[in-house]
Amino acid sequence: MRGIRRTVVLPAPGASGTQLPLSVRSEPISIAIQATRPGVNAKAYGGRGDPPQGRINFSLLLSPLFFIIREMEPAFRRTRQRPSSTETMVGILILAVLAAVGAGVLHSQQTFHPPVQLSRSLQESPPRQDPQGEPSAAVPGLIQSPPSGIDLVGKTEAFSPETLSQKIDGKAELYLSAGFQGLRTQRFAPEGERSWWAELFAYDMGGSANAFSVFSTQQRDTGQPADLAPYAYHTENALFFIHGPYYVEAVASTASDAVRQGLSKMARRFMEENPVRTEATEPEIPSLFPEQGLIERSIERIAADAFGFDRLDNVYTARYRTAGGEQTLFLSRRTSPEEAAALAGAYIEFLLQFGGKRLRPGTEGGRHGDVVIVEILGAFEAVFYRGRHLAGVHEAPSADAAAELAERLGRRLEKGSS
Amino acid sequence: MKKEDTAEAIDRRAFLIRVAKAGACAATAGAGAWLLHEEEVRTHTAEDAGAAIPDYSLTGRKPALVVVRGANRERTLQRAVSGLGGIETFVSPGDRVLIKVNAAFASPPSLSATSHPDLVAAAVRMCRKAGAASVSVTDNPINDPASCFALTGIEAAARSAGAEVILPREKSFAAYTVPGATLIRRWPVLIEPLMAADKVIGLAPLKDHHRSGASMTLKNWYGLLGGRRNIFHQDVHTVIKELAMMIRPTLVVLDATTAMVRNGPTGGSLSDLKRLDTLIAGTDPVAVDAYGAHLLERPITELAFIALAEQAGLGTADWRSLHPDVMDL
Repeated sequence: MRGIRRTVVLPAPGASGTQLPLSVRSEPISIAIQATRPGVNAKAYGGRGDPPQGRINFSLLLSPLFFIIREMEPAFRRTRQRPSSTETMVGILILAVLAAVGAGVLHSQQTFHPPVQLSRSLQESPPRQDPQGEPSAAVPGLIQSPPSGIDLVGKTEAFSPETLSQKIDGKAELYLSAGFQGLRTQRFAPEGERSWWAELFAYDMGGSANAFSVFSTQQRDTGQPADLAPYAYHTENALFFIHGPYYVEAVASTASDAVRQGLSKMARRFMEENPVRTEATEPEIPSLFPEQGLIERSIERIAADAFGFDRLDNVYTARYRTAGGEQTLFLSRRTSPEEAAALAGAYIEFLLQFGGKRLRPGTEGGRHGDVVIVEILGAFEAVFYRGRHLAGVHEAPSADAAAELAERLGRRLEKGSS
Repeated sequence: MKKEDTAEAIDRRAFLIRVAKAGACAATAGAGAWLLHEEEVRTHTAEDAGAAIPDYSLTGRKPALVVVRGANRERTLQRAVSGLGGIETFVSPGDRVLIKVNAAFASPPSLSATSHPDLVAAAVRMCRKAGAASVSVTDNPINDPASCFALTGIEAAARSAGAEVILPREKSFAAYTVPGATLIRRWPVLIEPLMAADKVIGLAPLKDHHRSGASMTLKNWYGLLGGRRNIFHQDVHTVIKELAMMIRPTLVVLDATTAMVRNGPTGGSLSDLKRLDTLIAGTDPVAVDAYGAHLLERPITELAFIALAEQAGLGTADWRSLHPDVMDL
């Protein structure tokens, strides 16, 4: 029984080159290619006449391949009968080896391997020598018009997620994990003198919630509220605030009243030149925490991997002083009550998976209403949800302390939703 | 049955000829791939040039560590080095000394994110007084090195004390492999000033660090790496260990006069700092860093690079076993 005969003609590009008619007859395991010199008619297969001719350019790489196939053609044609079991096993073994090699290459590509960066690294442009910095000419100025009494020093520098570490080194991961989009910086000093200088860092975090993450996790306990924005504080030599999607730092070389005024001027000028739409949703979440016992300026937002659980993202935490000791409340607004319920269950399972013990109701805590309490590593976690809010207590000193604080938050959430 | 379909006999000779032809084609393709290999990487390595970073440590001496409490960096440094046997113990007349500072950020000295210029100047003067033929100061800040050295005050301090400031240039780097390392392999390292030095001294500020927990004398060598070295943050403790394998210094100094105790490594607020008025000098960087962890009130278990370096035989985390002298100015 003959195999299926197919005739394949390679397209003719029309360029000069070797004129080469080709036809391929395929049988179950048989491939035949016959290449001829220009002008010579192809030998017909099956007596069906010359296949259409076309002009084809062969690269040095392809011609050996066709050469090999042509040379092996008689051997292939010989094997009209089924291959022996030995040949089949050898063929399978070769295919398995090739598959293993391919899998190994794929695995290696996924593995962190610094030397792969080498050729690119060595080809990077030389470090900049200009003392004033040499940012790209295309970087728009962070401040277009400095306020009175302030001189801009040097040009605006800009950094992307790929280059952020060049400016802030190991701290880059803090921003990158919180949705960092870009950073622009600008140095400035008092007009006509250099008794002090400062630098403005404007981190575009892609949203006010992300900006709150990096703002809150770095907040200094000794900071004093600044009347610049709802989330703003200053220390002796620096000013920190949120402006829409921006987290902004203005850091000076020294501390004085004149410095503080200069920082404030630059900060206001930045806000004027970068108007933002007010986002009314996420920043309101901190106001849901009960006020009694709340440690001042302790509210933070964890963008991802809260408490070591990779599904816990967008979590606000607040520290409390209670009769039982210091505890942490956590709160996360999800897209729906169903998601909040599912995430609560998943977090509980996560705790149990790592050695947590769900306390039975009625004994040293347990289930208080719908609050689940888990004892883990000598501390207590309380987990529950209200509407689309996942909430709870983290690392409480006792089950009763966890339950009491959780119930206070629960009542607050119910009141807020009514 | 058509004539073409008849099986054609093939003898052993014909088979061998065909295998040889196929092998020749494969060899040709392989040769082409070899020719396309990146020549500049293959040749532009320190190993190709026969260069290996020397061991700058003093041989035949027991490791030692000295702690001095005081507010004046020049005086605490002088007392600390004196407690280790004097600068002549470390620097001989005619030596070429390289001081590796931390100039990583264009940050004023008041924020303690970089080596303090007073300490740099004091170290340079001590080396010159010992008869050093040359004293060089270097670091690779990557982003705008000139601004970093200028705004930190390090450049002015170093030059005024008689040192040369070496800013990184492309030709100063070469691909280098740390023997036994898994990360620092064929990676650009600031080789040129290292190879031109007889002695290497590290000057590092004591800082909190977001990734590694703390930045001290071992992490200071990170500034010798070039390229996109931020990828090492994925395994920061291992790379710090390998840096310790790469550089065996003559002396290290950990400046805890004003330590950055939070929001490191950049800090930014004076409130991130804590006045500790302490300076540690030693010949065992692992022990010096372990003492630094003690000052930061960080358990050693949180600073995995210290344990890794100890396990690699690069020093001891048990700084108490060195019976350090603790002095007050």
